[in-house]
Amino acid sequence: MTRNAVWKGQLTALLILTLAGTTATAVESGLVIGEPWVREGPPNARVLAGYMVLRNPTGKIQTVVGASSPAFNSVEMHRTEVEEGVARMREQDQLQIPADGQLALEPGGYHLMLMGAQQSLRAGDTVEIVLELGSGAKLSFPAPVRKGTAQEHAHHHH
Amino acid sequence: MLRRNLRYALLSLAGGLAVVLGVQAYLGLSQDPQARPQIPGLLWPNPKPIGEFSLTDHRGEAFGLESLKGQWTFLFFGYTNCPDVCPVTLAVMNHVANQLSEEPAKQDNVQFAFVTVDPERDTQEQLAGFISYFNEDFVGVGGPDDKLVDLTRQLGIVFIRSKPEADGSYLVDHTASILLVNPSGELIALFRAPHDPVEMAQRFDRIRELVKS
Repeated sequence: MTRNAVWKGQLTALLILTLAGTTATAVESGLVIGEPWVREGPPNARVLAGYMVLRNPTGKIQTVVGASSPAFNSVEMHRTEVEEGVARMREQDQLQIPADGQLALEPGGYHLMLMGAQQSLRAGDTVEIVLELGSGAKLSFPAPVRKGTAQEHAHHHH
Repeated sequence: MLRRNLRYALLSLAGGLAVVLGVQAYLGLSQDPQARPQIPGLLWPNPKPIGEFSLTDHRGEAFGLESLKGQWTFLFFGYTNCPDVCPVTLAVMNHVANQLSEEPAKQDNVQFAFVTVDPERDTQEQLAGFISYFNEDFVGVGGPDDKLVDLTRQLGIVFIRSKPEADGSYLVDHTASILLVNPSGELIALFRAPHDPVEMAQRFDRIRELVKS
């Protein structure tokens, strides 16, 4: 896929920004959401994980200070860390996206912890996710539910 | 309740430390590079025998040392309220199972088990629904804390439950490695995270070949 196509794909996957009752574009918000998705879980799963790439095209650091979704009772921002062979999930007060950089939320790393689904979600469903930025702006976008694969994690190296 | 949980966490941690030290001691014994096969995570030629334990599987059947004997077992410890690491790891185990099933001779004699470190929330029913989503042949295993630590202590599995939040929810830190138990009921290898299912299946083949020879 060309770079341009990727960019277009991201823009079409986008986003409505609500700021004090007005609507602005993603770029105006200072953050672009790429490839959002929610991992399908077993039918009786009480928690799911949401992933995406947060891109910051601006020259200033951007922060995400909260997340929510009408499809879930509550949403928290977490990071999985494996230290000394032990996996820990650590809640994050905020996510920082460096100037002209990006932060990937991906399996085995940063993720949204989606708790208490309003209804059982299957691959093919779409949920709305809302991110609250440090600026006070809110960024709302759809995230498709899909099955996870075993290989995603293998490519995750720091 | 919390104090009890903490006590088990600490006991488990102490057990883990003991196994880690034990493993280091084993490795120290066989420093001749020709004598020691270069397979990461392998405890051979000094696998760790597992003692009796008494848990229950997701169908309500007893799951103990006898359930490990006579076949190879991939063991993973986690909990169903875990949104990231556990589904990823079970998807990896399913991928390994599929890799093995491409050659029917290889999938014989292999089982995959998921042991919950959160028995309070992971009832038999919850475990059954969870595990069968990943693979109908996988086994979900659980039991009360005192029975659970009988196994986790021996294997060096760590689990630590966080203080519950106002709504009662809590997180559980837990060992991320997948363990391999041989048909004699001995811990023979550790697969450390992050897991690559293709590499794991290959490593498993090498281990089986090595042990056979």
